[in-house]
Amino acid sequence: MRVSVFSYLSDLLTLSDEEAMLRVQRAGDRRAFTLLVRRWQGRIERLCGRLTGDAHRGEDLAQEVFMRIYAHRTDYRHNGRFAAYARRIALNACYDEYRRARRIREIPLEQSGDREDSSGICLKAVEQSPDAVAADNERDELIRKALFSLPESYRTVIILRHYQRLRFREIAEVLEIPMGTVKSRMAEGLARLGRQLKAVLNDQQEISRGINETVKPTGKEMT
Amino acid sequence: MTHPGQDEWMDYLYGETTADQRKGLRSHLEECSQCQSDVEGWQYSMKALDGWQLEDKGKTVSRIGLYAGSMLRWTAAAVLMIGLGFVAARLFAPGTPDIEQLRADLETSLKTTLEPQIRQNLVEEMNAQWQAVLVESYAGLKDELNRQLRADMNEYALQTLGVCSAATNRLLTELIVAIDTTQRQDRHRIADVFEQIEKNRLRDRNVLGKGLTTLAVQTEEQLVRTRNDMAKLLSYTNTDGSYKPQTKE
Repeated sequence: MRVSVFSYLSDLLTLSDEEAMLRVQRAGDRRAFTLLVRRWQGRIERLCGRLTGDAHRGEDLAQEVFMRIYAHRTDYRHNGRFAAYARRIALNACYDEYRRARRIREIPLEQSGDREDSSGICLKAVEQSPDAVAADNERDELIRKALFSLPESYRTVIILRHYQRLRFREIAEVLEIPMGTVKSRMAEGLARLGRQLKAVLNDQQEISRGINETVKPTGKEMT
Repeated sequence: MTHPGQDEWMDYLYGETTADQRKGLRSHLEECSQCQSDVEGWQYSMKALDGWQLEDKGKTVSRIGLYAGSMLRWTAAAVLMIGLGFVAARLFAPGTPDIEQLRADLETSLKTTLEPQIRQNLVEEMNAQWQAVLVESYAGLKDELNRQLRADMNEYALQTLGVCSAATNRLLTELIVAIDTTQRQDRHRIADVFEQIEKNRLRDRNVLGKGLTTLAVQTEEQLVRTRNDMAKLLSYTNTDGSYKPQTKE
């Protein structure tokens, strides 16, 4: 079906997410569904990417999320916001991915040496060149691993607040828990993350300092 | 010293406080080293989280930007084509172009090319909108009909219940009156029966009394005769119990 630019822009400006979802639910309106996909694809991909720690897996899961939204469109409640509904489906899709990854190991641990985190996802090892260490990538990986070592409930809240920029009230709506619980999980999650990162980064600095001291040439040796 | 809770600090760190709240929390931070340490710990984690890049920066392009870029390209191409067409027409047109003719030709061209497209798009749009409106109207009508039906049924049930209650009350009243009347008649009958029994008792007592009196009198007379007979008999016997012959005089 050809979509005119005019009508697309008109729908973009006038049709809310809830109205579009209502059309999808009642009449299976594919144009309305396409509109929702265009509006939400980026956000859902980024959310799934953060929740799995892998941007490419996030893209695949985003497809799965929209398929589920269309397949279970009759489950959408009219009094709820579509934003919360879509994010909830994305969270469930990522949780299902966690459980699936626990059952099926992508890379045998003894071969790769990768450490499995608390979520069950086999983390990718950072490839390092033999000559130089990419400090930024290594730090990036350390932060990601520390985040994924947190309990799922804390990690989810941190991702929704810090990366998706949802307000605490919106997170409470998505997760269907009290707002106080959201904030306490956030505080505890950040505190644990900080302690873990400090310990790891301090260890790394100690190691780096030790290496530098070992290879540093002295004046006597040069002569 | 009372310390703000974790939830207040989270609001503070993520900008969800009012200006007054923010001011109060900031002044508390200046005075409380414990809260300062906690907040610094959280800020350290927040800064670390900012450092986690999900994808390469070079590839991070917003989808809206992509679409906007695509739209811009198509728009520029359309403008270019129209401009080229205009220039070509001007270049290859024999002599001075007739403005009116040109306008008429342009109008005809637009009508033949754009009108079917516009019409089709409009028809599709209208169909989609009408369908959505019809679906919503149907759902709305169904809800309204159900609501009206429920209201009418409730009203009818209430009226029926009222009428039934009135009839029931009337019948109950009549029954109560009938029972009361019957009871009153029974009490009268029972009173009559007791009266009759009392009369009979009194009559029987009188008869019995008279009979007993008569019996007592007759018994007295009999006893007197018997005593006399006994006395006479005694006079005929000796002390030893033998018969005493009566001497003739």
